[in-house]
Amino acid sequence: MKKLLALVVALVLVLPAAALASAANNTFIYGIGGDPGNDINTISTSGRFDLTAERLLYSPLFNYYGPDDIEYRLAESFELSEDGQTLTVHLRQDVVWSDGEPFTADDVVFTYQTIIDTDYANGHDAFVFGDEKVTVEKTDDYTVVFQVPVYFPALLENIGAEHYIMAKHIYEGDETLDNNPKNATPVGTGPFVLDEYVAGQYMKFSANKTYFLGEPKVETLILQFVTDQTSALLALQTGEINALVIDNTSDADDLDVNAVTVYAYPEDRVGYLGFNLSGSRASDINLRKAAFYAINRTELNLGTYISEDYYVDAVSFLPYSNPYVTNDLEDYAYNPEKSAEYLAQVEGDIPTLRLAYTANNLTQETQALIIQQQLKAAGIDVELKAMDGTALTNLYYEEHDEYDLFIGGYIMGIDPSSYATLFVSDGSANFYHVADEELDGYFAAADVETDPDARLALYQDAQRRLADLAVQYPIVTNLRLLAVTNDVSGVEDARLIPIYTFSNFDQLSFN
Amino acid sequence: MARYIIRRILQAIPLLLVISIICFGLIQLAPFDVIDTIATPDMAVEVREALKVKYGLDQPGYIQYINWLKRMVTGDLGFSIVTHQSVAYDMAARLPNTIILILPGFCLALIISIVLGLVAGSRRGGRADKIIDTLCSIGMATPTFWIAMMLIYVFGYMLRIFPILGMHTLGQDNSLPDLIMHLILPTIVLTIADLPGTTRFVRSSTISQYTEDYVMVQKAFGAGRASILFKHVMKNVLLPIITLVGMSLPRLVTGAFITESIFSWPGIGTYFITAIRSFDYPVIMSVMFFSSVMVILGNLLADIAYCLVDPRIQSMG
Repeated sequence: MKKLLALVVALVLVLPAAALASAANNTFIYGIGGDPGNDINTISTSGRFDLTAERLLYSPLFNYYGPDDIEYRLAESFELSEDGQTLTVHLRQDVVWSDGEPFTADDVVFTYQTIIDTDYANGHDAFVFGDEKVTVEKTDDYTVVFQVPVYFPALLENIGAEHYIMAKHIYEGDETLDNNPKNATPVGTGPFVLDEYVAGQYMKFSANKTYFLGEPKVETLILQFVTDQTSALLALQTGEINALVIDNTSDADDLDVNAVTVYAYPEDRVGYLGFNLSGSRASDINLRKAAFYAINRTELNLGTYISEDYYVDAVSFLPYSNPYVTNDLEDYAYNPEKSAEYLAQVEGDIPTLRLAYTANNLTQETQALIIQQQLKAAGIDVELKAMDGTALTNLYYEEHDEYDLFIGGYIMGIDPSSYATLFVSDGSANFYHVADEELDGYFAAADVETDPDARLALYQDAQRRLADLAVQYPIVTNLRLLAVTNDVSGVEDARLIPIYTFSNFDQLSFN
Repeated sequence: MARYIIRRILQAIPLLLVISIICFGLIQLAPFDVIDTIATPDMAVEVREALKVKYGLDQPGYIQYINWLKRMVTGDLGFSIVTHQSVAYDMAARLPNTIILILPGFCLALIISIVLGLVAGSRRGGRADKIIDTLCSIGMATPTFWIAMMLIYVFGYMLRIFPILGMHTLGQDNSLPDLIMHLILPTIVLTIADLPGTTRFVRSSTISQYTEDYVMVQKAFGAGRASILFKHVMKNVLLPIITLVGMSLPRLVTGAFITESIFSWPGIGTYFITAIRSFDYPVIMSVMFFSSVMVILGNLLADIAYCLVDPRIQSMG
């Protein structure tokens, strides 16, 4: 018995030292909420965590963050022809794949040609225009020319965004790119190389010593899969992990400021309240305007996000950071008198409106409850309808009478042409089922307009027209919160961006 | 005995088929599929349709089922549609983790609950019985996640004795002390979760054994309290425990979702739930299939163990 007791005491004394001697500094551990799997490829990989892993392993030609904000990566420079239909890309000549093979224009042509030929590839539709397709050819070992059959304003964004170059000498001739055993041992040009994937636990990367922008500062980077936010927040404060995205803003204020710093950054996501015009109850524009004027945006956003540090009010369908956004439109600032005026003009009885939102989503649940109370005060009864996320998304696409209002959000591209699909009559993601010739006209005209000022004016007209139609009430551009332990530096240099979290993981370092 | 086992195994095959048809049918009943769960608004309709064609989701449900069955019969569990990862690989990686997590907690709970149940049952209405009963009630009424969070907060965050996440500290994958340190908190949680139910089961079983004639005979012969309890009553009480153990076998495949989730334990539980949420049918069907096999196997093993332990059952044929 005494021996047993001694053993237990010894274990309690010795084991913590063994277990808590966490990985030596210079290992950056990023807690992510899912397991990306070990099948990362640059063609069909999707989902936030898979794309994060992809960005560590592979490089794009360039990162496009706006016309004046381009980070060159595998490309050294490019020229766009005056008609906007020919893009000539000059590649870096000092890049090698992680297996030592040189990177050339063949890899770029191979990657883009695969996207163009594979109908399920990410972004495939942006390279196909009816019967015509984008062509991609090399003119020499380090020059590639893209030829677009029609004028396409978002060309640069589409070439640069989310398209990472894969190695021709690895994948050439393979029948499939996903479920391909070669994906388990990726050969890339990214800042890191994959050391180990342990299903359900982590992906371990080490610095790519031949990375063309210089060897990353952290030696080892781990994507640790965490499944519970509360315990992960505690683990962050004990230093078990170094970074974690905070799901609920209310948790951010509870963190130990001596241990972690919270960074709030925009994901360019617009959260909104939408009317479903395919039903019968929301067809009266007076009712829709009465509802919009009854909502107190300030109260709604403060009630949902706790602090003004964590959100920016939205008034347009474009996020506030978009260069095409305008505030010169009907923003439906809280105005109970106007609400009452419009409500008085509604023909017949005021119907009870059904508001759909995603069940178990704390943010949407709070928004729904506040909106219900605010509309009730204005004399509009709202019935809440919590739905499974996927079921709700599927219903978005159909014409139906199931709900009249819905809470949604989107992260689209930088060029406003990508938003057309949400609002034009035949848009594939026109969840409002709005059909307005004037609005369609603005988007169509902007699509072929080559003069930047005229294009800007057209998109601002589109924003004003959508506001006048009172089908979408933009609520918020919420900020994403990333908590990082205080021993980590270089977060600003690594640049926080949508989806991937960091634009340049190689810039992270330890104090 | 051998004929009996073979007969039972053969009987299980149609049962497995029926279970798989029901499970597949339920997945098909949902108005959406796995591609819908991963689709985003900026994904073109054509791309969504192409993905559905690629994974055969455009086919009628029965054809999808037959295709799945054909692969299953040849031992091919397929690939996850969400992560594109081999299901066999994923399950093989996670299964040992789940067993490492579940087994110690289950065994510990079993041993403690047998002792507590026997003590409580033999002293029915006494102080020990009341204390054990009260503790069981508290244990049953306390949610597992709350216990887990409290343990993490006190021992992981405040005192910093135990690590909070996963089953290994990075770089110490082969270290047994490190694994034990990660295992202690979740094992305590699982032990507390299992303890009350099994204790009450043993207690009621003990009470019913005490009403049997053989106890009265032993008492008449002047046998001591401990002798009656441990030499005679315990043997009979342990018999139904075999069923309990047999019924618990599927947990080795399905895992303990809540505990795995809170401790980010890389087991089957979190894998299964993630797959269910995204309608990732190759994963759902595989886990379901193996858990059904374990249910049938558990029952079979329990029956065999009964025969071996209790000669009366064997003689009844």
